[in-house]
Amino acid sequence: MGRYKKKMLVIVFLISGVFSAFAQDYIITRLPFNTKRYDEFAPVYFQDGIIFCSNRKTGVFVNYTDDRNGDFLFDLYRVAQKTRTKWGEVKILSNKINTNFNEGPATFNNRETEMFFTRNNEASKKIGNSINRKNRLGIFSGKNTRNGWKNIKAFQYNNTNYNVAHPSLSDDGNFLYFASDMPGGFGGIDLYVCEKNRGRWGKPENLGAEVNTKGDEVFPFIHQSGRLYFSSDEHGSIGRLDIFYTEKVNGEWYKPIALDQPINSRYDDFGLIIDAFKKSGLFCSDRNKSDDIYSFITLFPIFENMFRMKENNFCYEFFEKGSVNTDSLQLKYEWDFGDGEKAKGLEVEHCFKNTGNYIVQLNVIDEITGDVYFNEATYQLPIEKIEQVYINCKDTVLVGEEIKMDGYQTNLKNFDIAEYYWDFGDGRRTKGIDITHIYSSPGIYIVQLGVFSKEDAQGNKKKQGVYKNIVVLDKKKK
Amino acid sequence: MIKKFYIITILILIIITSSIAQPVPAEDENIPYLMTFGKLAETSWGDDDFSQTFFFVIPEEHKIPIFIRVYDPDVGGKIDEINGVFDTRVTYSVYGGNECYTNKDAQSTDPIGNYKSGNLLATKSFGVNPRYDDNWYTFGPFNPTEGEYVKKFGGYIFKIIAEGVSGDDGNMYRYFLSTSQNSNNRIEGANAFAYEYSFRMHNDPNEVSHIYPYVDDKTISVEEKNFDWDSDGMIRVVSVARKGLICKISGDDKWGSYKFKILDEEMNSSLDFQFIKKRYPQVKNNNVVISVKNQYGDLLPFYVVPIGGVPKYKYSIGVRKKN
Repeated sequence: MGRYKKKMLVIVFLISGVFSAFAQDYIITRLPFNTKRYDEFAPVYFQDGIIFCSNRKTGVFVNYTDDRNGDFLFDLYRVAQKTRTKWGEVKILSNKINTNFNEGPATFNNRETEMFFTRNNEASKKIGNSINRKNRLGIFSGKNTRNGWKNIKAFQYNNTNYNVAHPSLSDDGNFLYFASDMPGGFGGIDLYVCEKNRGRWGKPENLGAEVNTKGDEVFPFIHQSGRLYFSSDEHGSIGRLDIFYTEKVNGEWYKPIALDQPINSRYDDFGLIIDAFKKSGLFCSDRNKSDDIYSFITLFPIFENMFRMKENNFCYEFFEKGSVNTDSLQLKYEWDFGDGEKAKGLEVEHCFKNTGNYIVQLNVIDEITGDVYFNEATYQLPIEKIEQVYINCKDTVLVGEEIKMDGYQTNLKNFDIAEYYWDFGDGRRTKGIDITHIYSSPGIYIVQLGVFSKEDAQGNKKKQGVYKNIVVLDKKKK
Repeated sequence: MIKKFYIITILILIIITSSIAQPVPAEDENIPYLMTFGKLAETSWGDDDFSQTFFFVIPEEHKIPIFIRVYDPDVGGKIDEINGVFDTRVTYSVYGGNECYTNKDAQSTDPIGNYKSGNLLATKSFGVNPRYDDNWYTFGPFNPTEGEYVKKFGGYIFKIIAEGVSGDDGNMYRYFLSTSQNSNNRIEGANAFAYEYSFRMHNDPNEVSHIYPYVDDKTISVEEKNFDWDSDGMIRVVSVARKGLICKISGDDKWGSYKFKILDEEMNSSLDFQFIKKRYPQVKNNNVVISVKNQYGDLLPFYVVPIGGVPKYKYSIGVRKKN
């Protein structure tokens, strides 16, 4: 079996295994303001709603079209979210932003005072009602002021010979991710990042071979956690563009992980944005012919107050408390730990193997007379596990190695556990008291285990959770 | 008020803890014999002053006559220590009445001044006398009220002095405070004590002898004095708060002393002075003398039945969790 084929099988195995575990844990909804005929995509959070782009028909008389396919060109629109399910009226953004040509995916700084957005480089030229195919995409920025959008500027790395588009600004405003088909990439469209230094954007840097492929990588979204979501038609995509994410570990992007069905499908799925808690978000898909925006919410519960799991420690030091310094000790102590083990010494250490109620006894041997005084003192030592959810698994595994994890050693008082929820830190989640998992990339992962209690008489459930790190090593570097 | 409480506490302690008196030495002391030499003996034989005083406490509730019995009172035979030929006489004198205890000279380590205070109730001298060798002689009967009533003890005190009036041999003997003339019947609630203990050590190095000086709540420090220990092993002090303090011991015909501070937990309790013999070279027929004073120079009484019971260090296990 060829290496390539084998690798593919592993990936298919991982994906299929995970899908069956929690495919039903997402609810997706096609948002009501989508049109049937036109495209809506590339949402970005803005104030009380979103901004997105669409090629919907906005004018009765004139709408500019793409000379390649005759479609209307894209503009940016805004829509407010009234309630969890209700959305307001879609409004086109100001003509300070929208032009007669394409305006596309946008991003904001965290105070929403500055917008970076995609637009044709030659937006000021009126060339009839169609767009010249040589009019490449570029990134532009504009200030959101009380008096409207101002100070629209072209990004310094726009170029009339290639496209620079799909900006996504990091939470600290210092990194601008974007997609480009500039020369020197890995093929197709690649993802790049520019770092701001002393107020100036540095040169674009390709995100590298872990992220970029010979295919297209587009629609980056940098989450405030540092996780980078994007779309690609490679990386084992199950159908055209799929949504993936990656994170930097030790300065290196690790192998992108595909999001699960039903977010990804065999259609184009792209343009994902997600909230700070990674609980809900929006993405785009053409699964209903035209591009539409969908909301998604994960049914996987969130455990807000997780703490780092502490390892159970059953090791103790024993000593005689009342020792008077002036004494000329000529005594030996023999400690009977009550678990079948004994030790001699003025101070001794002992690790119990299990929990239990132990009676520790002190026998004293008088070295002068040779007399042995049994059971001179006793100490009842109840040894219990720390009251916490407990993740039982290896701390270090290899890529591709099946790791078993369980929560059997969880010790919670007055807490009748009904459900166990696992988050492996690589985007995979599942349920159950004992599970297995395979990591596909090296790195340090945070594994979380949350538990729910059974409902009490009032229908309330309690929840608790812990996390711990697992180091996944590359087989080659072992 | 505090003083009153203290006295009451003492009374209660004596009554509670001395219910099984009164062989002297008592079982818990594990001392083979009391020892008094004839006054012509060299002190290097172990007796510093050829005189030993003991006090018996009879609780005031005890109404019937008492007897003071002496085991092996004579100076001869197999128990006593011969120096040349047995030519020693020892006189035992029993005192009661006023000042038999409360006279200051009676509570001294040295037989000087009016140490024979009180009313002489009975006296008897013994030399070589096979009839009383390895046998009992009984003083009494005495009416308990013939003793001196001392309120702080809650009873009547009798005093017995053994003195080596002639010769140079060593007299080994014991006492028993009894309700019977012919047998050893204990008196409930009675006790016996001395301020200086002259006794014979065991020959067996495995045997550990004890005395139990009582520490009151005014005691801050004590000084132990021992005589003619012949460097035989060690004196170890154990208490409710002390696991084992090693004191200096004396050599042949010499005095040794050792001072130490009293711990808070030791107040109103007895100390356990353990006399632990060395194993090599073994010392036999070792006669020794010991007394203990507080920081004021007042002697601490050695009760044959220790007040508060035999003091025992209370071991306590401390536990620390390892990180």
